[in-house]
Formats: sequence, structure tokens, C-alpha cells
Amino acid sequence: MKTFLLILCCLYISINISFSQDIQSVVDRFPNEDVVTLKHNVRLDFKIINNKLSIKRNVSKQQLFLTIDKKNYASEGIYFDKFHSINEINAFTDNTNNNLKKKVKRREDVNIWQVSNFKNKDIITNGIFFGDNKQKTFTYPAVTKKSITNLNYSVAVKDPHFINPFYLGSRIPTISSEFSIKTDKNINLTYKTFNLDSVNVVFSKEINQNDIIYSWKFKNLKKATYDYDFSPLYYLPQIAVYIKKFTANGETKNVLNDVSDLYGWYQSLIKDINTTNQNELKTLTLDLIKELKTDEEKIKKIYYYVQEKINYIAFEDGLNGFIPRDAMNVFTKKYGDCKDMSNILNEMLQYANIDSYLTWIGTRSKPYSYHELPTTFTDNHMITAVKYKNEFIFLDATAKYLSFNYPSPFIQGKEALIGISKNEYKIIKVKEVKKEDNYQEIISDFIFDEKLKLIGSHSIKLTGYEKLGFKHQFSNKKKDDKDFITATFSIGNSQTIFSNEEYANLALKNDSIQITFKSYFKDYYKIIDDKIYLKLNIDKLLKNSLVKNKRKNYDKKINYKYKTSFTTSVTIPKNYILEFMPQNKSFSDTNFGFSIIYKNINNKIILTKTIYTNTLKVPVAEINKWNYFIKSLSKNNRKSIILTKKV
Amino acid sequence: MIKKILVILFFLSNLTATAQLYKSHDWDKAPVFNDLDKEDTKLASVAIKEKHLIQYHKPVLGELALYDTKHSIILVNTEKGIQKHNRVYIPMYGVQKVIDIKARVLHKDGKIINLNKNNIKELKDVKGYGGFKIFALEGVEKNTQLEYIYTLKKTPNSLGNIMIQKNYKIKNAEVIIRKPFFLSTDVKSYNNFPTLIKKKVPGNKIAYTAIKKNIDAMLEETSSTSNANKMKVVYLIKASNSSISYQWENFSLNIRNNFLKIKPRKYKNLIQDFQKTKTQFDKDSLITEISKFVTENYTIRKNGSPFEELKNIYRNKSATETSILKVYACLFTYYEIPYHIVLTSNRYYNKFDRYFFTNSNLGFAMFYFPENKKYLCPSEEKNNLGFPPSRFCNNDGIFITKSDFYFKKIELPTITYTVLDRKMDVFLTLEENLTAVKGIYSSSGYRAFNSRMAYKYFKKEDLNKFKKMEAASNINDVNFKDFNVKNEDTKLGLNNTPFIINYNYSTDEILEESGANYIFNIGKLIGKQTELYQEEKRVNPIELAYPNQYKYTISIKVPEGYSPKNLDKLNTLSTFDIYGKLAAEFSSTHTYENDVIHITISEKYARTMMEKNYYPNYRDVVNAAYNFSKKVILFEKI
Repeated sequence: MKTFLLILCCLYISINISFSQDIQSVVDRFPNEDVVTLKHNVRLDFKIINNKLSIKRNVSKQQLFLTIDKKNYASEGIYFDKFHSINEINAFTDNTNNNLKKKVKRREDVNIWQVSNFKNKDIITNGIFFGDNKQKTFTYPAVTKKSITNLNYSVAVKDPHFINPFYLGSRIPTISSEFSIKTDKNINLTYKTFNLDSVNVVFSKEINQNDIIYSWKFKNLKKATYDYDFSPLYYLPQIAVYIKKFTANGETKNVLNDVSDLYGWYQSLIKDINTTNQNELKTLTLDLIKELKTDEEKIKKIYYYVQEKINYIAFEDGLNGFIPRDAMNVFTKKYGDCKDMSNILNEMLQYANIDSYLTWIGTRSKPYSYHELPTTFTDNHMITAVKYKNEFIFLDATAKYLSFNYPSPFIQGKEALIGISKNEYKIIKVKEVKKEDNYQEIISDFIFDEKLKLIGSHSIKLTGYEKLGFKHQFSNKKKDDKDFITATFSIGNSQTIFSNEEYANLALKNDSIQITFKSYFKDYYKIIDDKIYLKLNIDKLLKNSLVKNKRKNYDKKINYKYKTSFTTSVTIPKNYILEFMPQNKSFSDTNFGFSIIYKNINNKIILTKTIYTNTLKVPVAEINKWNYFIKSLSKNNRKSIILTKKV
Repeated sequence: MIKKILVILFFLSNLTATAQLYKSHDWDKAPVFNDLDKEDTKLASVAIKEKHLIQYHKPVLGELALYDTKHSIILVNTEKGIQKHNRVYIPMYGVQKVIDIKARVLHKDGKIINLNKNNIKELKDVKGYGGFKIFALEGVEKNTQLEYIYTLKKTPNSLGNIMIQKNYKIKNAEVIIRKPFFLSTDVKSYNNFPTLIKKKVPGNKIAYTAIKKNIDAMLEETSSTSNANKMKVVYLIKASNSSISYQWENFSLNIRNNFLKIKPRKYKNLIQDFQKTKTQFDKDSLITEISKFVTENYTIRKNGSPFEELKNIYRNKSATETSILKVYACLFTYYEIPYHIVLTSNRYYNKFDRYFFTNSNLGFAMFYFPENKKYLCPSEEKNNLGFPPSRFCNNDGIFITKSDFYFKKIELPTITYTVLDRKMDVFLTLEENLTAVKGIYSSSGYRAFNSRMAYKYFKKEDLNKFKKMEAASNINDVNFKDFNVKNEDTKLGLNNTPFIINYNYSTDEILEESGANYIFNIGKLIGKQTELYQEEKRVNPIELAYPNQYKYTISIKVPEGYSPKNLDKLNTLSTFDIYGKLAAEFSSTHTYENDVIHITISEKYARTMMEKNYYPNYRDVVNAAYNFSKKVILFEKI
């Protein structure tokens, strides 16, 4: 180890000399930055040692502090888990450039300040109750202006299915970066690059007698700003590496040659599940469906049962993050994560003689396709597929309150890897739910009382994802939630009083939820002299949806397609006549639009408004059109009708 | 931080010892399902029982031990209740050994599902929170009864803190603190939890007990310190029957020796390092220079002793949030700048109590300079000399000097310190629905501090967000023509120089054509306003971050050929006094002369602490500002 450190030290000194000459040029180049990465190199080493695969990731990073304003960059954390262990680590602050020296006994003062405070911390990931993610954390000492922090470490990748892709996503600029792969020739690996066209890169491939070296050299990388709706994986330059197969001891082993290898590996993980006595679960299932005749009724009954009874609690501990827990065990414990819930649902459906299958899928945060990237990074979720009327329907028991025949919103349009049998799988695209199936209808009827107070009767109907969203909000409703209606439907404000609230058809089995209530608005409309100014658009839908600034450079994400209709009417009070009614207006495009129509029928002004989006994404090229749509909608939403007192 | 320095008790005694109390406390062998009153079934969850059992135990042979037992029985009624309670985290801070953890779920039909102990997981060190034992209760459904009981053997720390009140209702809360006769104890209840009754129990022991029925869930209310207002019990176990003031004395001695009695001549190099950078000589500047020097040259790390040696800190140029004070102290002493060390707590979590000695009083350390009555908070990276961050004000603190200590309230500045003053000239172009605003924004005090920090951040990220936030927060679509910032340097906070923005924007969002007339949404110019909802029963007193005031002066040129209407609605007033002094006020007035409408608005929050019965008055003032943001002027065609 001592020799290793010594070599490293020599190496750093030589690097630092070359850097110190250029340090002023870096300072001059980044007048508005606090920290820059001088160098960030990652090297993946693939070898066969003693007939076994050895995979190592060597990382070396140097950061220069231009100011002391972002000292949080002096604290580092390196992730590891059961598949990745940190073997060697060395970190220090180099203060050659500012000549900050440290006293070292019996030797000359040095500019190198070694890190010694390494600590392993457990990481709690959002949504995961228990996982094996850990971080080796430390803080560089004596970091001040012109300090260069140096980090070198090596990670052993213990399972070839979990080679983390290389990402360029730093929030500070990087002057130079290199990602390289060195592999023995008897290892057949491949790589996929994403979004490299956005950066300055030089690729090289060097074939030697025993190994091959691939290298990507990056220069002058701008800081990533994350100003987009879709997950960063859609935009960050990245290189994913995976082993197709390798030969050891004369034998060739497939790892991830294609999707069938990935599927084969997944199958190997689930081959021993549900081996305990499942009788109780089976009896319960049969009891649940005993009166039911059609497959649809049976599927719904079982699906809703699992949604209601099993609570989502995620454990991601090494391979346990991939192997569903025993169905009977999940049934007893009444909790599980996606794979556990898929498994119990699948098991119960099979007891009911429904064609059902465990299914792997990547949510919309993963932009990959299985054929393009047949690795564990392509998916992150498990659901259950059923074959119903010659079509696959996807059931996600983790999405509490989700109706039958609706995929969870975040898997729409994604590839599902359906496990048909041990050797057979199918890749099917999940449908995008039609806008008409996520329908919201809001009917509001206003009258003025004798004192010209505005009283409203409202009726709201919700289907599909609108119903799902409402159910989540409703389940979190406090006992006396005064602003529930305002917060949920953007109707009224703190001074609006709601009464006679009724929520009907809340059970999952119903297609739509029905909500009715009365409202008493204070000060919503304006009475100026002998005129009443009243906006019939009482909603705030899409109010803050203008795409602004840097976000204009990226596609806008839409969570689901929907259609919403408002019918708002007001009876003209006695002694008043209609003086002004705004013009009708509409904007209609394949992907989004609205229409606003005013009518005056029998002394009643009726506004009919519909708004729809018919896409899950507004591409950059259409952002201006989208903004026009939003502006036009907002402008027309602000229009008032005018009622004048009869003379 | 400071809690680590508190003395750990180790006693040897020949007194007869008895069995540990936790052994006699167990759950019922045959549990009973508890039915709830109708009202309680509407709640997401209700705790039937929450029992805290603390026992200091001295075996015949061996050292003093501390056993901490917690027993909970909770009924979950809804999905939300399940989510709140089906996962249990047991902190392992100071735990030597887990004696037992068990849990079960009882269904109404009598079915019991016991926790499989193999499913208890361990998190060894969660970033910033220490270790935990965690488990998920098994078999939880709506309308089931959750029960768990655990006993931990802990390092017998002399101080303890039991948080009784939770964010769910507790029907029966019980606290028992039991200790051997030879140990002396102080116990205190807070926020209406009953005083613990002392009594002798067999085995030469003393027990302090209290029971409280029907504790309502603590609500998180706006403008309150609801967490600090929860019922709790703190206790202090001592070897001798020493007074609380003796505890403070002892503590201050420790702080004094570490942070006030520093001999600068032992750290010549440190002083030399500073002297290389020093350019200023008056005392305020010197303190600021020292602060800048330490911030620039030392890194703060999370782990380590608050008392680590200054020579090590100097050698490694790295310290903890507390030990870094030594570097400052050394330089202050060298330059003969008198200072006191102040310890206090974040008032949103704990109200400092000078009448009891406990570590929750001591979460935060700072300097106080008696000559100019200013504070410096080294662990707050961006904080300057002056007032401390507002969460550490309006609270008492212990001030430790070279020879003594005293308690004092850390005062908030008065209402004139934090002012936001905005002037706007408005020009309308009717045919284009266009509103152009030329404005000057000037902020001081805490508000200026936040603005300067935000500007520094957004300048490097996306200034558009900052522009909108400060100048046009209630307008979606706004086009800035000019936006110039003055006095951005954080150092200017030292003499409360205002942070100033000159801006110029236009928008087509606030002027609307309405028939032949135009509706002008004047209210939108004052920015997004909070609105407070009608709450049935306010639980917590009102407590604001700091006193502050807003001033707006708006002038609007009335377009030719139009006459303004609805101007009388611009005159509003909502105000209330407490004990004859202004507590809060929103007032708006207008004048109309020479085709120009002048509007003057003043919004003041002078008082930061108010009893809960003033909540409706306070809410009315806040909502008056909100209501103003909805005001319109009608321009009627003549």
C-alpha cells in the first residue's frame, strides 16, 4: 500500500506543476464560477482473473476552488452498495497555488493536506424504506481560494449486471474529462452512447495484443442546469457499458448479449419464489371471486383487493431488490414493494385462472428501450400483465386507487417486458390513455341573492387519472379541511365558504367520482357604480403553464392526456340586464386546445369551456405554439361579463 | 452538538439494587381491541397508549445503566393513518444494547400478527441522524390496532428529553422516570403536561410519574412555533443534590475554559496568518475581517469533538461547527475585542429555559460583543456581524463571559430594521392592453439579507427567476427591460444599507378590455400575497419571524379619454393594537389629481408574539393585503 501511495503522490506533484502554470488562466476564464472541475477521469477495467470476471472502476477527480462561496463542494460522498465496494481511496487538498502550508514533524512544511475523516453513511432514498445504498463521506481540509482537491478511488463491481453508466451531469464546469474502458480480448463487451452530440468529444479505440482500450475525451464541458421537465437521463451525455459474453477456462458465458439474456437472468432470480404453502392465499382468492362470472369481474376484484390491502413499503437490499418476496408472506405482512405486489397479484390471478404474468418495465424517467440497452438500467419497476380479450392489460398494484384498464400514468408509452414462461417473453408497448378517458366535468350554476351575494351550486365528475389524482388528495384530507375544494379544484379563495359537500362513488369499482357542493363567494365579482363585473371562468387550470426562459429549449412533459369541460352559468338578477358578454374564442391543435363559448339563454349566461391536451410531450419546436395556447387561454379566462342595473 | 460534551455518569455504589423495571412492564398477553368514540374514528389514527419508561439502574455488581422503554398502542382508521404508523424508526443514539423490540398488529376479529424479528433492519449511520433500528409492522389494515414495545440499554447520560405530544391524538400518555435513591434528579414538564409526582418505590428507588389523558394532535399552524409548543418532559440526573444554577455554573466553566480562556501567544502562527491579510483597524471591521479570514481558510466538517484542540484545528485547517469558535476566540483575544459566548436554541423547536439545565437549550453557539451589542454566528456561513438569524432571536440564551455568566433575551430588531419600500410609476397603453411599470425596490434588514443571498445565487443560475420573484411575483408573463441591482455586497448589511433594484417591465396580463372600458388589476402590482384560512380553533399563539413593514407608493397616469372608477375601494384599513400599541396593520389610501392616481400602502407587523385569541385580527391584516391584491380600477370611456 505504501508504494501505491508514493506513486500516487509523485503523479500528483507532476500534475500540479502543470496546473499551477495554468491556474491564472482558469481563474480568468471563469469569473462567475466558484468551483471548476479540472479533471474527471473514469476508467473501467475488465479482466479475467483466475477464470473469473474482474471489473474495476477507477476514478480520479480534481476540483479547483476559485472562490470560497461554495464550500459544500469540499464535502464529498461516494456511493456504494452490495454490488459495488470501494477498495482504495485517497483524497487530499493541494494548496501549492496559494502556498498554504502544513507543518509536518521533522520534515519541511508541505502544501498537501491529506483527508482522513472518511465515514460510511447509510443513504435513505426517497420512497425506499430500507436499502443498501451507502456513501463514503469526507470533507477536504484547508480548502480556500485556489485550493485543488484531489480524489482517487477504485470501486470493484461485483456483479456484471450492475455496471453503472458514465454520466456527465456536474453542476460545475469541467475542463477535461475522460471515460475509458480497458478490456481483455476474451471479454466481449459493448457500449451505447447517449446525447454525446451535445458535447466536445474525441473517441479513440486502441487494439493491443491482449486488450482493447476505448476512450472518450471531453473538453470544456458546461455545467448541467437541469432546467427541464423530463428526467435528466433524457439529456445528460452518457455512456452505458455492458458485457455481452466472456470466455474463461475455454467456456463462453453470456451475460447480457441481448434481451433474452436479461430476461433469462431475471427468470433465474424468480425461479424459487412462492415455494411456501400458499393455501390460505388460494382459499381467500377463490372465496373473493366465488360469486363472480366474468374474467373482468374477477380481475377487478383481485386487483382492487391487492391495491387496498397491501401497503407499499420498499426494501431494496442487493439482489433482494430484484427478487419478489413470497406471495403468502406478503399477504400476511400486508406490505410490499412493486415486485412483491406484482407477485401476489399475479399469484392470485393465476388461482382465478386468469392469464397473468410478471412484467418488468422502465417508468417514464427511463428513456431506454430493451433492445437498445438490454440491461438492468433500462427498467426500474415491476407490474402484472393480464391477457384479456386478446390484449395485454397492465395492472400496477402500487398505484393505489388506479382503475382497472388504466396503466399507471408514469408507464404510458413504455416497453413492458412480459414474462410469458421460463424461456418466452414479449415486449409490448403500454398504451397511452386517451384524453376522453381522463375526463373532468365541472358544472357550476350561480345565482345572486337579494343582497347580491353570489351563491353557486357545483357538480364535478371525474374519471381516469383525474379520479386517481383526486382520490390521493382526498385520502390526505384533514377532518375539517377548509380549503380542500379550493386546493383541489382551484375554485374560490380563503374567504369562499363551501357547504353541502358530498362525495359519491368513491369506491374503486366505480368508473367516475361525483362531487357536489355549494359555494358562497365574497368579493369575487366587482360592483362598480351600477354595474356588476363577473368572470365566469372560475378555474385556474393551466394558469402557471407558460414555458419560460431556459425551459423553452427542452420538450415539455405532460403527465397524461385529458379533457376538461366547464359549464358555468349565472342567472341575471332582477333589475339587471346584460351589457357585455365576451367574445367566443377557441384554439385548436392536434395536441392541445381550448374553446370558450358564451350563450345568453332565457336570462341566463352560460359559459361552456373545454380544455384538452392530447399528447404526453410538447416538443421544443411546438413550445411557442403551446405558449400561444396558454396566453390565449389566460387572456380569455380573465374576461368578465358586465351586468347593468335597469334604469 | 453541545450535548456530546455533557458529562456521562458513572457511579459505583454499594446500595442494594433491585431488578430492572422494564422487566415488570410488558404488553398484555391477550391484547384487547380498543373501540374508539365516534369522533375519534374520524381521525386518521389515535394512540390508545404511549408510555415512556426511563430507568436508571444500578446492579449489585457493575455500573449504572439506563433503560429506556417505549410502549405504544395505536389504532389506525384510514389510509393516511396506516402510512403514518406502519413504519417504525428507533434511534440508536447512545444505545449500548437493544434489550428487546417486539411489535404486533391486532385485528378486530382477534387475529394477531406478530412482527417477525428477522425483519428488523439496521441503518448504522444515516447522514446527520445517527443509527436506527427500523421495521415495518406486519398485517396492518384500516381499523387495526398497532402495538410495539422496545427497551434499549443506553449510556447513562445525565440529561433526557421525552417528547410526549405528537401529530396524532394520544388518549393516554404516561411517563415514569425511576432511579436509585443515591442519584439526585430534576424533572420538568412543559406546555401543560402535568408535573411528575415523586414517590418512593420498593428497592430504595424513587419514581417520578405523570399521566395525561386525551392529548390532541399538535397542529402545524402558520406563524407559530408548534414544534416548540408540544408537551414534553425533560430531566436531569445528578450524582449530588446540586442546584440547577450549579449545573449552569459548571457548564459555563467548561465553555469558559475552552472558548474564553485562550492564550493567543501559544498560537503565533495562526495570528501571523491573519496579520498577513488584515488591512482594517476599527473594531467592527476587525471582527468582520476575522470572520472572513476564518471562513476563507478553514473548512467545517460534520464529525468531531466540539472541544478539539486549537492546535489541531490550526494544523488541519478544519473544525466542527462549534470548535471553529476557538479560532475566532483566539484572534478576538489577541486583538482585545471583548466577547461573550452565547448558547441558545432554535425557538421553533425549543424555548430556552434558564430555570432548567438541559441540552435542548444549547443547540447553537455564537459570539456576542458587549461593546456594540452585536452578534456573530460562525456556523451560519453567510451571517454577518449584527443580529443573529431570526430563529435564534426572541429567545433567551446563556451568555458566558471570562469571569461569569448571565441569562438574557436575544432581542429581535425593531420594526424599522426590516423594511421593504417599493415605488412604482405605471403607464398604460390601452390599445395593446399593455402595462409598463418603472419601479424602485429597496429592502433592508432580514429581507435585504435574503435578497442579497438570493441574488448571489440566481445571478449564477437564472436571473429571470430572481427578477420575477422580487419585482413581479404575481404576474406570469412579464417582460423586463431593465433590472439593475445596487448594494449587493453582503457586507453592507453591517450598517443596514438597503439593497436596491431599479427595474422596468411591461406586461399584457393585468389590463383587460371589458366592452368599451378597461379593467386594470392594480392589486397584482404588490406581488403575490399570502392568504390565511378560517381556522376553527387556533391552538398555538402567534409567533412571527421578525417585525417588518412594507411600503408601496404607486402612481398611475390615467389614459386620456377615460375616467377612473372604483377608486374608493382602494382605501382600506385593517389594524389592531395590543396593550395600546400597534400589533399589525394594513392600510391603503389614494389620491387623484391631475389625471394621476397615487396609491400609498403601508403594511406593518410590529409585534412578533401574540396570544392565540388575536389570531382573527392577525389573519384579517394578512388577508387585507391579499384582498388588496385583487383590487381593480375601471377605466371608463368618457
